[in-house]
Amino acid sequence: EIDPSSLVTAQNPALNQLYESVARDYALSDTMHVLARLLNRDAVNLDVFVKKTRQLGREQFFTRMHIQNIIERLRQ
Amino acid sequence: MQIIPLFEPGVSIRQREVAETLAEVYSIVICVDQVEKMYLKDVIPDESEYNRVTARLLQQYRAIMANNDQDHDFQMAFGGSLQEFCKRYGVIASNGVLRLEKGIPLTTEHAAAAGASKSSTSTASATNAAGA
Amino acid sequence: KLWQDLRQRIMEKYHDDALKKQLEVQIQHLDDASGKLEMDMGKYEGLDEFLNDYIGTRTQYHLKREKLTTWIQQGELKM
Repeated sequence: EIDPSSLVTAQNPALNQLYESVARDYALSDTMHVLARLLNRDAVNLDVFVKKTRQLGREQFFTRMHIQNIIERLRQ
Repeated sequence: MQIIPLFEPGVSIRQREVAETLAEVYSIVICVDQVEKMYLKDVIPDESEYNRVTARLLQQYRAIMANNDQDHDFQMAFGGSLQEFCKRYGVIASNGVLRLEKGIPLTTEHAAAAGASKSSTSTASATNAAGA
Repeated sequence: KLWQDLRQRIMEKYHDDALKKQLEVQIQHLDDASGKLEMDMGKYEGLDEFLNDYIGTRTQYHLKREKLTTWIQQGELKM
């Protein structure tokens, strides 16, 4: 069986990287929202919420920085 | 075109350091924003808990800004203002930005505003307490 | 000849639609899977393991969504 999404794989590795980084950026936002829901149902405490939100935030910054670098290089 | 690394080989240790600092700023804005939203939704019912966590984040932000005040590399990458930084990195966190600009937790701000209508001295003490 | 060309084009179109449909199903599965992960968060030993799985599933979800969007925008899939 073929994976349909593999058919839309770009020929250009940098372009694939861009797809993946953008997807991860969204995923990190989703995960921060999950943390908020976990705090709401007392599955995590406030300190853990803060610590993990900070951690995800840092990763999101680097992901966005990377996205900008990729876009810049693709434009060259 | 080949895989593009997070940092190009030519990037200096100094530039990596600036990126690490910007990542902290980014995560603080996001976090302050989330904490405030959780407080407003009553997910954090304890006001002192909200205050404790927010005051700490505000303090960390102030420390980073003070440490990098004269750093040209940092200022160039940061963009000169929090608003500009948020624009550059697509940060949508209006509560967080406002909180960091005001520099005091929401509860203290309201206490200060309430105090101001009665006497100006209580406003000063509330602001001092937030800064401590 | 004309008939063969037409038949070929219909087959390709059918194939394209079927694959698109399959991709939509995968996207839905990933969305459901992340919802289930969230509900089953308590089954994890540690929060980090849960967060890693969640990020992974959501990344796949968004990646496939981006690809489907691109596919639809381009009209036809170039193989």
